[in-house]
Amino acid sequence: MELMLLYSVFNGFIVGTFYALMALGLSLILGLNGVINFAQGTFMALGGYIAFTLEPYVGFWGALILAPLVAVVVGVVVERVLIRPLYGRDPLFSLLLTFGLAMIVEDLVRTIWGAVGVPFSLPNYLNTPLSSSLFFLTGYRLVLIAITVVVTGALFATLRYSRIGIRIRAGNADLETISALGVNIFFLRAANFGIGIFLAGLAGILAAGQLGLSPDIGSELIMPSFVAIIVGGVGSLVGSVLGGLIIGIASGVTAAFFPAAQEVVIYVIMAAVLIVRPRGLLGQEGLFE
Amino acid sequence: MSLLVLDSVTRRFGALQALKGISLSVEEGELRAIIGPNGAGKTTLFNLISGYFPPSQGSISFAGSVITAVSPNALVRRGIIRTFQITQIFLALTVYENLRVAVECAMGLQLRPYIGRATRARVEARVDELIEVTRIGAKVDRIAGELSHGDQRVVEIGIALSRAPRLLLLDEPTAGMGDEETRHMTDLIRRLNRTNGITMLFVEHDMAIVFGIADRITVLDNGALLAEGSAAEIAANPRVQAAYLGDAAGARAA
Amino acid sequence: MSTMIRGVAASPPRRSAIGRREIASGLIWLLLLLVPLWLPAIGGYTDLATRILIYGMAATGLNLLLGQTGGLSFGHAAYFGLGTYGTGLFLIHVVPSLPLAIIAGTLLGGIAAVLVGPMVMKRRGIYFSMITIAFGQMFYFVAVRWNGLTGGEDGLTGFSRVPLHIGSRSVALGSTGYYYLVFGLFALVMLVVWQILRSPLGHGFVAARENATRLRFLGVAVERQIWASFAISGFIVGLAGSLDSLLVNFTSPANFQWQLSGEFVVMCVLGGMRSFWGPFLGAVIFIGAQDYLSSVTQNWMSLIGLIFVLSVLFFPNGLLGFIRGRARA
Repeated sequence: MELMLLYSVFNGFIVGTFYALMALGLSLILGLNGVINFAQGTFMALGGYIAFTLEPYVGFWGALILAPLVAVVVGVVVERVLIRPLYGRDPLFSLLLTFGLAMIVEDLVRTIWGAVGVPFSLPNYLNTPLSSSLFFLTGYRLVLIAITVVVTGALFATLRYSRIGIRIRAGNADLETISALGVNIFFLRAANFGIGIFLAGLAGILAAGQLGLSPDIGSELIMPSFVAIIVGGVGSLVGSVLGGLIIGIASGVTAAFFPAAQEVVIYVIMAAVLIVRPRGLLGQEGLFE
Repeated sequence: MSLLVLDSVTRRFGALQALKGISLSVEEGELRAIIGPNGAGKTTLFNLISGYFPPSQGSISFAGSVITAVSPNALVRRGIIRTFQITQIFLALTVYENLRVAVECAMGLQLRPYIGRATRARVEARVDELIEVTRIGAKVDRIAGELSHGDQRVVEIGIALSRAPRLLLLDEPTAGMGDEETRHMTDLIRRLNRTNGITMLFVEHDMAIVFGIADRITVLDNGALLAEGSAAEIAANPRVQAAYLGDAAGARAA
Repeated sequence: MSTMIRGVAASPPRRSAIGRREIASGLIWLLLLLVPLWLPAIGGYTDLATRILIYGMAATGLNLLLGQTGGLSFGHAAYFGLGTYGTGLFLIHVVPSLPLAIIAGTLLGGIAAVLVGPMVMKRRGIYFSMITIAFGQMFYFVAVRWNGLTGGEDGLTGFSRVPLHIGSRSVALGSTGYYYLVFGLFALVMLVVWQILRSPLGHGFVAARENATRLRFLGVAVERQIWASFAISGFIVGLAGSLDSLLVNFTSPANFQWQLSGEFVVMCVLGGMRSFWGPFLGAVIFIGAQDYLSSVTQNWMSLIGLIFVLSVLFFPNGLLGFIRGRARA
């Protein structure tokens, strides 16, 4: 029983890290670019599938590094060509555009890689359980957590200490002022969008190794990421991470004891948060409204 | 009995004292100007009277009852209506539609999906009254966003009037206007006060207007009440001249 | 001719435009009334027209919230889906009565919107969109996971369009018969929406969209208006869902999915969110294109996505807005 609980909490935590990475990317883009990037899930799927294609040539570790970068290139092109004309316009339009984009890419993925899911093979040494009693603890899962922690830590450090990070945070607070101070906001927005997509691509590969790949993996993971942001609080990056982990664990535990409700539970949590604390756990009041 | 009474009202924002122990009273039917340099606390005073935040100390009463902790919405229903430094109207609607929606809301109809002929006639009559009072008749079919700044201000006052205010607070009603527009606005203010008997409080920087139309003038400086009196008294007050009018008069002369 | 020019010069082209608009409306109603006569001649079929009316009704209902009140809901498939399941389940489990089943579906969708409303009404803009998307997805998972009741991923079957009982007569509804039933309800919905838009409630919706702050300063509880708009649009979209389930005698979780929510929004944008007929026009174009594309290519989903992208980039004011802009230029 205790092992079962530990197992389900851990499972939930793993899924929660994907939600957290996705929500973090979404939050960054929402903050500086003012866009809900519904295609975030698409970029995630793209990251996974690119890794799947690259792996036979460059191995798992090579794919882990290359695939997110390829996703970033695609992402920045999308930002330059499609999203940029929409800055400053009603958020309806960017949301609708990224809806369309998600449909297009999901369909292309289906055409290129097939409608049926594909397994993503991991090196053997990562796939074996580390101990027989804690059967769910594999090397891959530890690597996955380590990578997530390192990347998240590096991101927060970058935002706090580097020049571009400080500008991104300042731009979040007041884009007009930093624009007036001579900061190139066109570049800043592209860079910020790229970072957000990098997180999605990375989540894609990590999730591929854990959950396998299917064309709709992106649209399956983007919804919980929205919930993560709402629960954690719009405008707070830490909140997004926290929200992702909370709903991941809640969903994992529910899956063990009442599987039919494993998805619905996160929306129940969201509803509860909206009723009790509408701005979310760490959110600021009145942002993006 | 005074319509509005402030009794030693203080408002702090953290360490900053925005208003320090202000006491003043405004009589029914009075046209009162609030003047003072930037940062004197004029807008804070308006925000307190219209209930946006409560005073840190002191009390405010309106028409005989204390309103210190009453919400802005409830104050609107009691008849305290204000306008803002930035014009707040419905830019995409015509002038007529602006006034109509204001009247409908004032009559409490905003959730009614259907109104009968008689009610519709009452709404239209009231809108016509507002058009008449504000003399915006020639522009009723124009989109509000396409009007001049001055006309937009007039529309805003029309919207405020839909609530039949007992006390109307105007925050810099002539700011950014040309001479012609300013003259129209001051005429409107005077007319609303003299003909319609609406008690008004207005913040204004243009001293010609202040001394031209106000019954009494309250001077704020650095959050404190510097002086209060008729135009003649204020003009003759040496403290006011020193702190405030000296500069303004000098600038005007130059 | 000369009177028209004078009209334009004196005040906006109000008078003449109203006349033209009435003629256009009359023409649309006439065309819709006679669909079974002319549609087969140009290669269409009656069920396609029925579908267009159903989606046009849903888009018009959504637009009351989206275009008129300014609430960017991207989750209205939820109420559509509830409408389909409400009607299907009612026919299976309660009584095989067509009118009651339609009422049941409409109520299920509408009441869900009434309940979700308070959780979104305080939010505006992007935040509003995000929450509505998430709530939409919640109902999707309920439909997928509550296997015993909903049939899960496979969808709900086992119900059909039962004959309509009028007095002691029983009228079986074929394609044409059902078209006219839907047409009647469509006309009713359009009448209701038209009435709302010219009432204080509708004026308040538009005012809330234009300047919620101003409205609040007038002592109006803007949240309640957004709630009302949300609820009314939920009932209308629920009715559309109910009618859709009876058109195909089937429903599935796909009727809850985000794609469908997005499609409703695209219909509004494509046709024009600020006009009465815009959402319906968008539904005509969208459903027509979807029907054609799905018959010629496997990759129709990409092309639908492309319609999304192109509408946003080139027709942000809708086709009607675009045409009017051209006419003015």
